[in-house]
Amino acid sequence: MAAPATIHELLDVAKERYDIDLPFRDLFSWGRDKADLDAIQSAIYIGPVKINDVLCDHYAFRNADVDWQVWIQQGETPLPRKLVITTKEEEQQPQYVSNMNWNLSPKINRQLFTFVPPKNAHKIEFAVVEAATENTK
Amino acid sequence: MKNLNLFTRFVTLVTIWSLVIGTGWMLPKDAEARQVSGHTRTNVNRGGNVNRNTNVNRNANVNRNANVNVNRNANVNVNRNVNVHGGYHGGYHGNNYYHNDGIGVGGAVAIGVAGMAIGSMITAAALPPSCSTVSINGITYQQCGSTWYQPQYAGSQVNYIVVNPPQ
Repeated sequence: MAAPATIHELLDVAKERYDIDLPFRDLFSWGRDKADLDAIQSAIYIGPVKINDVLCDHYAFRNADVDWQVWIQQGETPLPRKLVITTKEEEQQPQYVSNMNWNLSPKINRQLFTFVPPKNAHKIEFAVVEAATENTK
Repeated sequence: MKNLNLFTRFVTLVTIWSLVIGTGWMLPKDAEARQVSGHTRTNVNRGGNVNRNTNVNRNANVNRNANVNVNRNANVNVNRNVNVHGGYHGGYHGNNYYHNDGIGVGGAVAIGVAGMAIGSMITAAALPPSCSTVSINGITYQQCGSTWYQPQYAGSQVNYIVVNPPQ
């Protein structure tokens, strides 16, 4: 199976076909799918706040299944600096918190993309997700 | 004095209004029942396919005329299509800790050798202790007596599936 062209498509395949859900997949899908916007039930601008000494705008959103907050850097480079997702489907309402530090001039070595398995590593197949079986344990 | 009275009444009114607005509007309104499926979301976008489509068409026609001719047509068409894509079950805390507490395990297909059905699946933890790792044609198996297991990633955990002895 050929790899999808973009990171966002690759993450979709990983999630849908192999049930591998990487944290903060959102970063690569925001602004692409109108369904994401439609899922927002309400939004509020909370105000300016500093995240790691960077002045950000703090927004809060409500979806049906999650409440989420995002802090976006003010100025020339409006990067997300922090994300908090509260899972409302769970009784305990657990939160996922992600803090972001950005390197805007990275030096990337091509070799980084060549996978060299360690000695004694074994190849393991990925299971393909079967038709919708919701696990309720 | 009259002015002061008016002022006092005004303040009281404002206070009461604040209380009404405060208690009425500030109460959380998400009292709907929650389904617990055992995972912490790490993405706003659920991913996968969650399609819910509920169409209810009701059509009832009643015609009456002088000849007592009653014609009733009740057509109730209920069409439900609920497609819930099975989710990831695990948790993510902070930046370094990744925990997965299991994907559905099970499913027997056909009876094979030594009791364990071909196609049945166990977790890595349930693998018998006395197995040897055998690599055949690029695939690594676990041989436990006469039963052969092939590892398989399911989400972010490894399960072992009983397979026929490889050739």
